Amino acid sequence: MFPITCAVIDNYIPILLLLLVSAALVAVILLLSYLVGPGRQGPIKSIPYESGVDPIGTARSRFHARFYLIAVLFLLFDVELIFFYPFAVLFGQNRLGIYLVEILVFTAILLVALIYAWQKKIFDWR
Amino acid sequence: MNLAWAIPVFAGATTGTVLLGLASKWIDRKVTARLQWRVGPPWYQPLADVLKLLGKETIMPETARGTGFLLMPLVGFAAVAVAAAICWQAIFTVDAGFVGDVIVVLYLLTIPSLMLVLGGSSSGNPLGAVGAAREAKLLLAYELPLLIAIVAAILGANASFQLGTLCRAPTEGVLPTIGCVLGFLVAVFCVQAKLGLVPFDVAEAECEIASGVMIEYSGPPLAMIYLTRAMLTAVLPLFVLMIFWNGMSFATVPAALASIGKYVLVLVLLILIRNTNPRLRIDHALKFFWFGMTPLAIGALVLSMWR
Repeated sequence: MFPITCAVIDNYIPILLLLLVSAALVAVILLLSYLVGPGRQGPIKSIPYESGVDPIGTARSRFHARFYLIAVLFLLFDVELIFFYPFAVLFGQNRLGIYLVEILVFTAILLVALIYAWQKKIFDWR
Repeated sequence: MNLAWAIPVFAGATTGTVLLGLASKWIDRKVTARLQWRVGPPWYQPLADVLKLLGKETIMPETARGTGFLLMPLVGFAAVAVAAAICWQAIFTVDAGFVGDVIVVLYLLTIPSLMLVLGGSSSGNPLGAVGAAREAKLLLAYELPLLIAIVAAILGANASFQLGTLCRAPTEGVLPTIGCVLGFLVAVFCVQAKLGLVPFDVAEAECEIASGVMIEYSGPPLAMIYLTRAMLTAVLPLFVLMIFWNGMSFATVPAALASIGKYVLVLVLLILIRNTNPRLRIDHALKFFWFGMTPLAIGALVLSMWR
């Protein structure tokens, strides 16, 4: 329905270029301030700030595996939600029942996955 | 988007958004000060803050991972600048956008939050890591209702997912209009979380984790983060207006005044929510979005289907 033609890809080339240009702009500002600005580094200055207390241990704390599951679930739902956008456009224009049935089936499959995750107590935080 | 137009549009949009963002930051500080019976800063204070930070030294802790730490302000600023360019172009020219630019802007506006997670976890500071984890969880919570609310707006307006046409499409019927209002409410709370404003400022929480994700940032990188935040303060209310409230128009003087009024109204609404609520705990914030805002957004979607 939405073929990836050169015209479609052409829309994204300026975006990519603009991203690169603005990132380069910020990089130049940071570099200039590094070269021109004050720079007196020292061992005390480079200690991580913990309200004046000497840091103990590492900042690389471990996370519970449950967060990984939630992140994967979020990614799935977030990406699948994008399919609602073409549906919204087509249903808004044509109001055909078949689109509604299709999206309801799609939502039902998502709901089954959600209920399964709920039963597995993935959303319990404590 | 035409490449020949891209650079001038981009330069104008970035400058305009930075200025509008700094003005919005000033309005934020001034309204907050008046609510607290203070006078508040002069109009040039946000600009003075940025200029002062640009002249300071960049201090990076020895435990930090330099690439992620310095990449964060760079990529965050770039993403918001491009999102701003697409939004402004859609406001001034109807046919200038492309199909799906709504989705591109949505994901570009997610990048600053992701960059906060990257910066906080690269800072080598335990409080920064706590802030990064909170920001990541908050992102998981508010992104879903926001996406659903935007689908509701597209359905209600019977429009395509192109910003230029979407922001000019009128909502037809009573139920889709109610759906659009519900979607607008959901979007306002999601924007509040995206901007890291109270009650959703758990990732920074000055008194609790000493600015969390931004604890180790100083000098020019902090100035860039401040500018990115200012630009987000300008772009996000603009984006919400474009999706849910017929966008902005500068064709005639009354239309321009109405557009500025709508923008200031949304901005003051965000500021009032910020100033009249205490900070939510992270699990309360997640429950608010998952079990409060998501069903409300689904309700808006269902209402928008009827006509």
